[in-house]
Amino acid sequence: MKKILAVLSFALPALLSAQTDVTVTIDPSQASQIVRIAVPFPDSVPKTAGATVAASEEIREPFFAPLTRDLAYSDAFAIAPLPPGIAPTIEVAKRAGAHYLLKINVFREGPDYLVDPELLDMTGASVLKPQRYRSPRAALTRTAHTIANNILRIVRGTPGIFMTRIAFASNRTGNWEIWLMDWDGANQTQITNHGVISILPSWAPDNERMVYTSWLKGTSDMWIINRRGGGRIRLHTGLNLNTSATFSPVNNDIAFVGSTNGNPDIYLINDAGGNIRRLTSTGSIESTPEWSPNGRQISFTSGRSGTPQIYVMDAEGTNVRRISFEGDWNDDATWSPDGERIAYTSRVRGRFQIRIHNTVTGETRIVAGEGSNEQPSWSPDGRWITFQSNRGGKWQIYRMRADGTDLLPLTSQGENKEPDWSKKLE
Amino acid sequence: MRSRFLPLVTLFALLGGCASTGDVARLQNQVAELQEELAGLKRTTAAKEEVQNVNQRIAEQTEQLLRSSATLVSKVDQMEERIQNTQGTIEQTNYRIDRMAQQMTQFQRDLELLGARVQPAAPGSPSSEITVPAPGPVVSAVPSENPVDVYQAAYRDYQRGNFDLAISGFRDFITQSPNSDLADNAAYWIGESLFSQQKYPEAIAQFDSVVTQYPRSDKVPGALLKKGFSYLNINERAQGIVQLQYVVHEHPNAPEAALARQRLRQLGIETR
Repeated sequence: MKKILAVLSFALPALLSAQTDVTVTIDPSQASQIVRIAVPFPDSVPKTAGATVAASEEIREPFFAPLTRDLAYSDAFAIAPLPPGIAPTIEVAKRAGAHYLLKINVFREGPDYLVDPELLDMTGASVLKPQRYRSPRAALTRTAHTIANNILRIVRGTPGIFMTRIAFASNRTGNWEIWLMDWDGANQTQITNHGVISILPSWAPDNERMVYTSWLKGTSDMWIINRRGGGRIRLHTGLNLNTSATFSPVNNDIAFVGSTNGNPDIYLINDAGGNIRRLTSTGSIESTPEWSPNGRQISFTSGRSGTPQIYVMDAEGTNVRRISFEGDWNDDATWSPDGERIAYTSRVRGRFQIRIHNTVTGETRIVAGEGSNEQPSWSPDGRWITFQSNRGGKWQIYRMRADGTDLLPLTSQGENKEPDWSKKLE
Repeated sequence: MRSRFLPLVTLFALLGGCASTGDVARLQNQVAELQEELAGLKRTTAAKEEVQNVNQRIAEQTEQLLRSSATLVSKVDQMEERIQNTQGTIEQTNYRIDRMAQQMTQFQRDLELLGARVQPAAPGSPSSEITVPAPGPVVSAVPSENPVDVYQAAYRDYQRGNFDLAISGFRDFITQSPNSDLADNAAYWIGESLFSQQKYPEAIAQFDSVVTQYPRSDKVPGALLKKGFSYLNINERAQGIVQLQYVVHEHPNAPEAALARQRLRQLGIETR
């Protein structure tokens, strides 16, 4: 893991300036299914008459780099290396072993950038519906993600995760506020500006809303907000604590931690702030609820056996059973989108690591590395996990594959915690 | 202090001046009154001191009580912690036993498969000789699928929200392995899958069968409570209430009892 991080840290600036040199880990069992795609840098494509070609330095960082990264990390494509200094024709791409050639022209029109992608198979036939993407410079990365998503949908018939977003808490402005970023760490955008502690964001299943905890009114409360930072609603519970809120994937319920008489328990409330139901009633601390993807189970942390351990109950609070048996501190459970795996934070030899439990076979394995690694959250395709780590000294957010490979730091400014990956593929 | 001090000053001032017999008698009366007053004051003082003493004793006793109460609370906390730790150890031990039982089941199955493929030598023949039967009939004699695999596939379907497939898989499992340790779980998951599909009458029947067929199962309180919730969800209020009260009565210490009490309170029915 340490090596992968070091390699990626050094390799990233290099790969951004290179043509197509993205190195990723490919599962050998999938190797035969990998589609090789040649992606020449737009500047090397012949100019179209009457248009102003965008300068290469303008589009390399915000557009070309994220596009090639998306394709390379898609598990569907491998980048076919094109020889430098030769016009990237079908013949050249074929000789490079490519199945597809992605030709892109980028033009300037006033403040806007116009992007014309063309995906050709090795007979020279265009397989992508002609479409021109217009965007200001600030939105070029989103355009890159959109094109990558469309290409994946055409070639594989499935949507990619390139348009998904990760919500997190950051103190880079001096206060802990809620932020959003793309799956690759691009487009980091501040969503709240409360000037008080705002933490623990959690996405609704429609990717439109989030619920988070804030001390905006002087006490710890749950707030719902839309992805643009508007439509803020406070959930009145009549309880203390009011934290760790998480939307049900199948209805308008929200599970959260509330307390009466100083004892935290798991409760449900609907997203309009009504119909409060208490699910746990032990004398021990219950916390960190998380819904299973079918909406019928809730995992949570409980100290009822003497140490914090992960338990699962039915959505009505019945049928409680313990699922973590290794380590004396387990917390932050989160379900993979297929419901088959639960990732959680587990103390191993004094440090916190990510442990993955298989809900079907009952087996567990550890997948993190240096420092403490906590608060995992799955990508909506179940292939990636984002988490917080203090391996670099400060708390930052990272992304890795579910098997621990292809580690990538996503944040660097201030301290950043509690990532939550949006729930729906777009 | 002031109340004791002033009458004495007055007395000495009066004795110091010229005085008639009447004055002396008056003075004697006054002295007697003052002595009485003084005695009264002394009594009051003594009473106050006594009160103070009593107060002090009370304070000491209260402190002792508080101290012993704190010790008791601490002991209760320690006991609770020990109980929790013991509970944790039991859970871990049970987990290990379950895993070992699963491994044993797997070993047994492997042995059966091996036994089916390799028939023992006929009596009297050399012990080193074995007879390998024709593959066709033997294969058909062996169950086609590992029951644990059937259970896991059904549970996987449940987790993915494929409830119909899950129900069918769990039913297959119960048919194949009615005496398995997982049979009660499978029966419960069928009920829970029906409940998830909002097929409440079918769910009620299934939760009933969990209770009647596996009365010692740890799923019983959950099945009973879900049966009650199912009744309430189809507006059979009276049946639902009776069912929830039954959970409270039969399994007062189960988490399900607390959930039943909460729901009964919401329905306007108080429980002990």
